[in-house]
Amino acid sequence: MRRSLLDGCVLAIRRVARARSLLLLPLPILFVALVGWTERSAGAAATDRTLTGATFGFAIPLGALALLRLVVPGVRLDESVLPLSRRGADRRGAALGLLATLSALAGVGGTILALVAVLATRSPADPRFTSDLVASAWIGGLGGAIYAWWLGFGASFGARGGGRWALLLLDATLGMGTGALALPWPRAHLRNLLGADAVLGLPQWAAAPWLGALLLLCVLGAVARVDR
Amino acid sequence: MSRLVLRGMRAAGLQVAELDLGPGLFPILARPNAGATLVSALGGQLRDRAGTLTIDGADPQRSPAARARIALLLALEPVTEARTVRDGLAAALGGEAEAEAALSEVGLGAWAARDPRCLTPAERRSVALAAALAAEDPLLVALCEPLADVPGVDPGRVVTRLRELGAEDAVVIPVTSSVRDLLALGGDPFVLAIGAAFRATGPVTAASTGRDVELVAISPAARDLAAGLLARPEVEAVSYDEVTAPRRVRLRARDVRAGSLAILAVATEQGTSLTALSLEPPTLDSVEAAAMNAARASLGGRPAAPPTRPDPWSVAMPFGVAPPPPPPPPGAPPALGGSADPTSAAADPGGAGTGSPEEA
Repeated sequence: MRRSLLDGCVLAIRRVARARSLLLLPLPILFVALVGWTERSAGAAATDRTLTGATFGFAIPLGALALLRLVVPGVRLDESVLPLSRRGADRRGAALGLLATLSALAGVGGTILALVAVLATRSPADPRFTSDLVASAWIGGLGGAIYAWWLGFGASFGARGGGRWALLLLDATLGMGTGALALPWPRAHLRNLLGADAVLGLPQWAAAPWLGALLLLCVLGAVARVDR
Repeated sequence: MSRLVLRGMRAAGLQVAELDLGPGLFPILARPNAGATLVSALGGQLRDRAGTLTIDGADPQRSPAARARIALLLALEPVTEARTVRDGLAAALGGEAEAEAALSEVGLGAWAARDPRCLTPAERRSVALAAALAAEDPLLVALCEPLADVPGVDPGRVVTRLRELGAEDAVVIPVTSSVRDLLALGGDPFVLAIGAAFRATGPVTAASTGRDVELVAISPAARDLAAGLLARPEVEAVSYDEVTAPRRVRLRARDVRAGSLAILAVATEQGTSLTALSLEPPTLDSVEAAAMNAARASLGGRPAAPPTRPDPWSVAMPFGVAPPPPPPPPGAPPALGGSADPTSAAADPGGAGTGSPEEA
């Protein structure tokens, strides 16, 4: 199992490193920076709008989806580790390694995007600059990681892993609310962490444990959906 | 000793009631989709299936240890992430020297430095076949069409290696949809039909010696031979293509003897020589039908009607040659030594039609 986990990590890194589409990496950064500058000129609360809108609403989930596309390319999660499983690797271990690596990469990406959003909307002289920078960085990292697991779990459904799209769309629609329907979706809790309206009035500190629970569910779900 | 057991297995387009095989070479004739599904299932790469499948008591779908000892060639091989074909095989076989030896073994030595991402799907299959044949001490070797769609691979070496593996302790199952490949592979062949695996020797023989056999004659005067054959009542159809095969005439006759005698008679009349005369292997349809009839007969039922399918024959004759006469009605007496008894010909399907005499 441990060996398969490691093999899965290596497979994910190779797939990401060999992809030509890595050249498109600066695009989401440019997008967030552009939106940030536009919001800054539009008036107050530019940071909040940029973070909840362009960054956590679009760039981080879509970036995680793009990374998932490189690592699990148009197939179901268990089929994506075929090169390893045919040589005797444990599919569950390999899939977990694959998603863990993806999660780390998406977490780094999320952190960078969140930092760019703050840098584009606040000047260093702003008294809240440092605190926003630190808070956004860890929330961005957590957001990237949770979306990677969330979408990876989605990729275990459908003949070609199309479940990832279903989860993304449900998250984008239901996760915007604050009622009970929004409870299972990462977006709702990430918005709570960023200071937007809370789901069912949950306190802000409860959002991180909720996201942790969701992440654990995704890990367990992925394990359950993949044969050994 | 390796043992493969399939029982009540069902998947999309595939049903196998029961199959219990020990070490040896067991080519299986199956429809392309069913064959691809069967190989995926045998390799433990098909989640959506029902029934029992074990190799040495372990289900490869759930046992990584069993999968480690299965050599696999899928219908569609995925792209590998290695920098070169050599690196990709080295990861599977344990070293670069082993990888190069595996490639050279099937005639692909020059591919070692190629980028796997630049390989066509068929070339990826060739590389995967090289890896499968180089597997050390496998329990099961499951290959989808090992003699087709594998460019650059020497088929003779593949057959030799499969026989070696079968003679060792492995269950070797090459799956093909071509009767010609099935005959070339040798071993103890099976055919998948009506959800069961039948031993194929009987159905192939029955299909070869039944009605509508196909013969190929090679002659320097193939055009005249084709024209002469058109007038023979025992010949049901003639195919001649002056552009792609100017020395070859294919004909369909009611049985081997009638068709052969017609060719000889026309050649004698015209004073032309024949370079070769061979029996084409039967089609997958006719072998399946023969298998089904054998199954029905064993259950005391009536034989099924022959399969209905579009007639693949086309007559490409030069201008000025009269079109072929309609085939005689059933029961009409054959002319010039033809025999109406389809069982009268003693054809050897294993020896005939396993290669084109013209190409040889």
